[in-house]
Amino acid sequence: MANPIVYTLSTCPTCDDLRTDWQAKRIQFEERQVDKRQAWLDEALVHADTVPIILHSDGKVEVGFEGELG
Amino acid sequence: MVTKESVVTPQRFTTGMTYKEFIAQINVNKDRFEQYYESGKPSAEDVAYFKRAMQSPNGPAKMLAIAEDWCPDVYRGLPVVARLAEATGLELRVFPRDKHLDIMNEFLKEGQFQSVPTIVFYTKDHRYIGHFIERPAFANTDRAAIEAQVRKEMPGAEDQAIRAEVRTRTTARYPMWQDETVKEMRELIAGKTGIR
Repeated sequence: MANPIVYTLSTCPTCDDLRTDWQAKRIQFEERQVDKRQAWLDEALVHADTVPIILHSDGKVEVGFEGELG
Repeated sequence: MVTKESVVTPQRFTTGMTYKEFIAQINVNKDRFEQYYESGKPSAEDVAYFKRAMQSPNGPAKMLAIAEDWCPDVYRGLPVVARLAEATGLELRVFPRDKHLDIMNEFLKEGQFQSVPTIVFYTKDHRYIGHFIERPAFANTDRAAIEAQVRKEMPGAEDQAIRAEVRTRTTARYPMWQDETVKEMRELIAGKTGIR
C-alpha cells in the first residue's frame, strides 16, 4: 500500500505537530509543502483551502490534524 | 494595539514592497493573482468615496498589507486592494507575513490567529485608522449558505465530494467577494473616521 500524501505549509504549526507525531510513531508519508511548488498547491486546493490535508492511499481525504487546522 | 508602540514606524512602512515588487517575488499562484487582478475592479462609487476620505487629514493615505502567496484569501483579496490603490492614490506596501511576524503579531485575528491578508490603514502622518482581516463577512455567510445548499442537494455524499462542490461554487463567486472586500473596507474607514 502506498504511503499517504500530506499537504503542508512550511510555516504551519499544526503541520509541524503532525510531522513530529507521525515521525515519532514511524508512520511513513510523503510530504508536499504547498508553498514550495505550484503543482502541489493546485493538488491541495482540489481538496481544501487549508492545511494539513492528508490524502490516504485509498483516496480518502482528511483535512486537519487532531481537530486543528493550519 | 497601541500605535505609539507599533513596530510599523513611518520609515518601516516605506520598506514594504509595492504590489508589483510583491508579485515579482512570489513562488506560487502568479496566474491566480493575475486572474483576480483582472476581476477585481472597485466600483466608481467606492473609488469616489476613498478619494473623498483621503482629502481629510484623518482619512486614509496609506495601506499596509500582510500577505503570503499560497493563501486563497490573499490571491483573491490583495489584487483588488492593489486596484483600489491604483485608482485612488492610496500608497500600498506589502509585507510577507512570515518574514515580518512582529508586524503580524500586532494585528492578530481574535488576538491569536496570524490571518492573511491583513490590510492596515494609516493617515498621511501615519496615524493608525483601522484594519481589515482576511475576507469580508459576506464571504463567510455566502460560503455557509453554499455549503448548506450543496449538502441539501447531495444527501449522503462524502465530505470530500461536498468540499469539492462547495469549492467550485465559491470560486465562481470570488469576483463578488472582491467587491464586498472593498465595501467592507469602506465601511471600516467610515466607521473609524466618521467620513461618509
